Amino acid sequence: MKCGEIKDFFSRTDAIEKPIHKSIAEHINNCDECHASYAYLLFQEKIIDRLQKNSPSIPNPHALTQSIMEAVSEEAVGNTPLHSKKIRIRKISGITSRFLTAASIGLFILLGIEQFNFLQKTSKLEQFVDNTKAAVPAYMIGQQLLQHRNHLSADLFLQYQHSKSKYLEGKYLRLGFVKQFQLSRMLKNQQVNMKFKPLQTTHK
Amino acid sequence: MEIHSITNKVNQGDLKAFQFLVESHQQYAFRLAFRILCNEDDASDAVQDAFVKVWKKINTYTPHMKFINWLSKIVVNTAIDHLRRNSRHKETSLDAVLNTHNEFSDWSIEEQMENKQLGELINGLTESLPGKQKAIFTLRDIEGMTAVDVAEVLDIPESSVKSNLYHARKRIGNKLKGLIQYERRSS
Repeated sequence: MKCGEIKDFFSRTDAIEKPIHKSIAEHINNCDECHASYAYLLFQEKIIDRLQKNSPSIPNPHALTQSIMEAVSEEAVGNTPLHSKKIRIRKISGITSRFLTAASIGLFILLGIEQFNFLQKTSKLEQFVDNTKAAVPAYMIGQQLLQHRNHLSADLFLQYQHSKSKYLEGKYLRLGFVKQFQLSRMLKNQQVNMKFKPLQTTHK
Repeated sequence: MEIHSITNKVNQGDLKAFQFLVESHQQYAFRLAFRILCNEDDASDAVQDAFVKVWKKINTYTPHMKFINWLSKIVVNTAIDHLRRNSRHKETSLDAVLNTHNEFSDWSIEEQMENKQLGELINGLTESLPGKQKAIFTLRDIEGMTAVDVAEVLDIPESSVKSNLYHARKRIGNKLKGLIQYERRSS
């Protein structure tokens, strides 16, 4: 037997546990290198055996139990394991999500009604403006629309502007935010003139 | 008391049953954690964390797995996490450990070692091993688990257990070889 053939023996994890084959034993006895390798293996087994037989012990078992129970008691609410708590949280989340869905639908309906009212009012105004074909000051029409808009979002208002009123898009919105704000402030002090009345006067 | 009836009670939130489970298994859990972490304080912390996980995850335990394997899985994973967190782990010179204790060739197997000495010896042997190899070496060679059980605990194939064990032993063997050669030169 050659040293190369015995390499397999040394790489086996149970090399020491099982009885050694006669040919292997003979080679180990006659080859210095393999003999040394076998000696290392035996030494390693001796150390492992020592580690197996020396079992570390808990310095204070009672204190460790206490600390574990305290940590677990903090986790437990009313003697209920955490997974049960998680289930309860999940149930609450389900109720919350259902409530949010209902609230979203309600809000959507409300906004829909608001939008419908807004479109009705503004279409009347637009129709009137088209009929007059008069040079109505753009800012006044804009302000009228803003009043009808009430608390609807600015985005919705702009959406309306883009889709429906080319006239306002071209005139009022071109004024820019600062100018719009200045006009709003200015017209706020002349609320009477902002209603349909001045426009109707122009129509006449 | 049957282990399944205890785990069932724990699953229903019975703290007394849980305390019984802790008292009957904490020594095993500590031994396992200590053999990976090599020090009392770290092992105690890991055992505490592991039992809190047992309490939290008891609903995931199924009797098709041995309870001791399920517990070992939690303890080993927790210990490996601690090992990663404590990357500043103290380096131990195996040479110094063996010399401060006894002449290693004269060791008597019966002689019981203190936790500190034992921790230093295990650390000296296994500190260079990656966490997984360290766990495999501990479970298979020191705890004496079968390769099948080690594979179940670590959730890896049996072939992987064998190859990792081979590499772990080789590294430990090389370390010991170096030490013996050093001893021969210096004597």
